[in-house]
Amino acid sequence: MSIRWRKRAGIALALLAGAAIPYVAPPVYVNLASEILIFGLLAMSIDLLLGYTGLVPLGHAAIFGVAAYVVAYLNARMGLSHTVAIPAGILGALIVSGVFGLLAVRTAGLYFMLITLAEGMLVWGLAYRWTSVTGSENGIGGITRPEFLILPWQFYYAVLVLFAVCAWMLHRIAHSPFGLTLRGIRDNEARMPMLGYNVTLHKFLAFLISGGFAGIAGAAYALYNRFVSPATVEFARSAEGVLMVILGGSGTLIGALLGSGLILLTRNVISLYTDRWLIVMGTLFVLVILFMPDGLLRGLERGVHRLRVAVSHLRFLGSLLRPIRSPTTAKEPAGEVPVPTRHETP
Amino acid sequence: MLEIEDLHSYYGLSHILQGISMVVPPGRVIALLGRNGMGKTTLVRSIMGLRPPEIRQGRIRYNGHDLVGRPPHEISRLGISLIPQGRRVFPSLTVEENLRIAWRPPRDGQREAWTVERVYELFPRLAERRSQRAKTLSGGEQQMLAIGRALMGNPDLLLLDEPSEGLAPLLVQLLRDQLLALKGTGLAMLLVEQNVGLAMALADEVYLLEKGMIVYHGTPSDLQSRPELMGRYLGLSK
Repeated sequence: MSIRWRKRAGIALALLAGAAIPYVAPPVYVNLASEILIFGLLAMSIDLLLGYTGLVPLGHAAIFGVAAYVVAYLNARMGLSHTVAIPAGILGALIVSGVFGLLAVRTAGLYFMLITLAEGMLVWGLAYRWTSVTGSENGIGGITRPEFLILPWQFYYAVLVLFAVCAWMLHRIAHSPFGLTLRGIRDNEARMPMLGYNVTLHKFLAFLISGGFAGIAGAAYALYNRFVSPATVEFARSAEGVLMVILGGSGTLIGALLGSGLILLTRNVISLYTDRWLIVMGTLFVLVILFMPDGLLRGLERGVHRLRVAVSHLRFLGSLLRPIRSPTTAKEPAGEVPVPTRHETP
Repeated sequence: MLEIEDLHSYYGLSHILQGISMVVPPGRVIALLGRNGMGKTTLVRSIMGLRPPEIRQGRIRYNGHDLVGRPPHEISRLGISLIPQGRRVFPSLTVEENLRIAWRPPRDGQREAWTVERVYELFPRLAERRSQRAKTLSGGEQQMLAIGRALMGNPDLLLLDEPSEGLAPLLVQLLRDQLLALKGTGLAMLLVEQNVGLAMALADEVYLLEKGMIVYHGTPSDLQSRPELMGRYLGLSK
């Protein structure tokens, strides 16, 4: 019970800290925080496949990008309202991930990675070549935001709420019987049919759910950036999403947010000071992999645990330094050796 | 009831099972004995619908359903559970998750349904380890978990592929007692084994498999009275 309450307290604290950002940070950083949350959501959708199902998708930025492109096209080109454009964008991502999923889920391991990579490249190629719709490398600009989401802090709070709701939903999915099935597939795919599970169907559903959340992130990104281009759907974005999950800790969901924060903060902050920010970022990655091979989240948890152990050791050493008190000495008859008592920390 | 009729299974060009016919009646324990490489696991895989092997001829019927050509998950849902060779528990799931993931409702109300609690009653050791990851269990405990997981599917027929493999003699004895207890619940079993002692203690009928063919079918006591068969097909000498 106490662990559950500690977790709840942690979540409340994190939400409070998130809500405080617009009060303490300049608008540039409030925008950066929105971006971290949006890509954190994309990375979480990847984690459902990578951490829970054992499939590494290398084309998720394409699904994310399809939602962004649909929103951009309907909103900026056709002038439709957000209440149409945003659901249509998410629907578009679902359709694309349905088609991609059908092709990809019959495979696993390296083959799954290669097929999703190819699917991502397909979308990228379309973004580049289908000029009449996508505007090629000029992209689609002029995306509007609803009137109540124009200022950085307004948009940030909307994204924060969106992220929290999606994170809660993904958490519920991952810890449902369906999520247990996914972890079973990750552990031993060959065993699952013998327990009566249609593995291909479960992998497809996981892909679809993951694609849906990637689409939500993509729709939010279109409104955030107000501009969509082939760079939104390129392979580097997909790889970056996978990197965020691995850095933050796969199979943890919320670790993806840490990974997103680490990558986007280093890129945006360190590049202010040096052109060689890629070297700094690479060094950081190597350090994380060396010292926290299972990701930032678990690494930090271990760090906190070690700190606690160290503190309790220090307190024990401290208790040794205190003079030995034996409150009974005075009452002992002379000549008898008092037994020293020592109070150790529990 | 499982009926296999003139089954021919191939691995590529190799003709592994060359016309197997056997019957597992409801509630009975049938042992299939044979040395390495005689096709025991191939038979289990053929029943379960796993590929390879490829079934080119013959019939497998279970309670009126034709099994040949069905995918494994459908065969499992008909009420057949497999305890695979080498146990194959889910390593990073906890003991309890390993059991929960396998739960299926019983198809009829004839026997008491298996639940996590009932598996813990059968294997108290698993209850002690319920929140431990399965990869941290000992070999004997993993075998208990593999059996418990198979039971959670509430099967009518249990296929056991060399359950005694890699277990210490004391644990094989324990396994025998547990399987006898399961037999008492009226569960039918097809026990594929190399451990003759275990098979003899449990089985109502014995088949001997030699190079993909059934060379003997009889009762355990009859087989025991014919040492020449045991010597020729199982490499045992009295």
